[in-house]
Amino acid sequence: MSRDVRVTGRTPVVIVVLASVAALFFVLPFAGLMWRVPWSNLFDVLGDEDVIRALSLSLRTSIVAAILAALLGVPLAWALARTRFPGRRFLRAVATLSMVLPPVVGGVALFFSFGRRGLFGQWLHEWFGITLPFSTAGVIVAQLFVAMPFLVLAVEPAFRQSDPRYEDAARSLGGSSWFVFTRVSLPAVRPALASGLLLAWARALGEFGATITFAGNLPGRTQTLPLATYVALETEPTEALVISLLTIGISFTMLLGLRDRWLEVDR
Amino acid sequence: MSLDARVIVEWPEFRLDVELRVDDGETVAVMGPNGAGKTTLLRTLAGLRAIDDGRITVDRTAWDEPATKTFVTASARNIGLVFQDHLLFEHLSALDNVAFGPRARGRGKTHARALALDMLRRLDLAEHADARPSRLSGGQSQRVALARALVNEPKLLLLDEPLASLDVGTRRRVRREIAHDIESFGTSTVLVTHDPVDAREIADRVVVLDRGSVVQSGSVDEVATHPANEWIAELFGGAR
Repeated sequence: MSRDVRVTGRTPVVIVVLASVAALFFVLPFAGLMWRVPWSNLFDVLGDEDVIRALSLSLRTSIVAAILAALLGVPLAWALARTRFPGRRFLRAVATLSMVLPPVVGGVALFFSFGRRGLFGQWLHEWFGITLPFSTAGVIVAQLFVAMPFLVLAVEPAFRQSDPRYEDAARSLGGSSWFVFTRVSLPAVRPALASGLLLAWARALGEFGATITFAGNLPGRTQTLPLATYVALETEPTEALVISLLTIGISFTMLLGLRDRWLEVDR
Repeated sequence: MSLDARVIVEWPEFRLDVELRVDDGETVAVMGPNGAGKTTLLRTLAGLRAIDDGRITVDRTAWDEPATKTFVTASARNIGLVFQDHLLFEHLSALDNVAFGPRARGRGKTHARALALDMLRRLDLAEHADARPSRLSGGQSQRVALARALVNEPKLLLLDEPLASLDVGTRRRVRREIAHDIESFGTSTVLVTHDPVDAREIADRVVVLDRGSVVQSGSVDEVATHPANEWIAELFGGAR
């Protein structure tokens, strides 16, 4: 022990104090929440029809949003990393803007673009009969809008760092560009893709502002867990506590599961 | 197969202008100091970079000819490419690395693997078929990379410093093995190297580049005994 101290030196007191404050700052809110959870009738509240509907809606929409984020975000990340075209930097900025934008503003933007009278929404409505606002599809659109940047930002650097000569080697072996992309480029960024998917999914699950602005708050159709939590806090605080606990449980389980399976590089 | 090429590539501050012939079954070593244009030459032959002028012709078929707007892509050229750092796909076993070429050309998985196993056997590498590239030694990796390049029966084999990343002891053995492999397959080969011993043991002929141009070409002995410049003299002097 004493040898270790001599080698590494003591940790500065200031750092110990500040780090402890930081740790407490994360721990205390959960403690406060757990303290008030009605443990005795936990399962009564969990079995509540509104809670189950919100849970089911949240899981379905956030998973679809995460998959769509990967489906669209991976090609975008690849294009940003591997190709050169005018406006590429601008595109990267726009594609990640919704990360720093207040989600409500994103919701407003979605409303005036994909809303029923919106710039593009009116075509969707007229030509395909699709109306996004106040629909479950609208929830997914709102989640996708805020979640996809997380995937792009996770995957793009991985594409950038992977050696393009592997793709050269694959092309020299006769691979078409699609074959090379799916068999060489994509496997090379698998860890980044896994963490990007996790981040995007978590962001989609927690989405509130853009959802309530664009898709509204209709139980069973657009009322996701965060929206249900917020509504419950005003009318039935214990229910809000239980839903929060449930959300924490889902996020925590997913985090652990993914970390063991994908995020830690094998060997 | 025979290669007949005049490769012209223009950079802002550098011009590569090289004539290169490789006869059927011949191995030509391309040598020269850093920045001479060796790797660029190889990349144009592979189709990973287009030439700006000249032509690349294989068996009288044009692969790249700006004058007629002809360009055959790398994936359609049927070449074998081996890099200094083998660049085996880390997520695939040695066998599946070798099977990659046949798979890319549309063979079924079983057939591709059979071809790959056959190739590994020919190179005496079958025992490593299931190994991940990270488990292979430097020399084994390089020869699996050679097997991967040869499995499609390429018209032209391109080797970019294939021995440079190996330690001295391994290099001698792997050099002999690679020389033997190339000899037995009879594939026309361009070997980029900075090591005159590689040229002597693997190649039939040497082409020496400097600052984008050919400064000397001929058999290894000719070049060694009548070096055209100081750099070549020193290079081959060290090899004697």
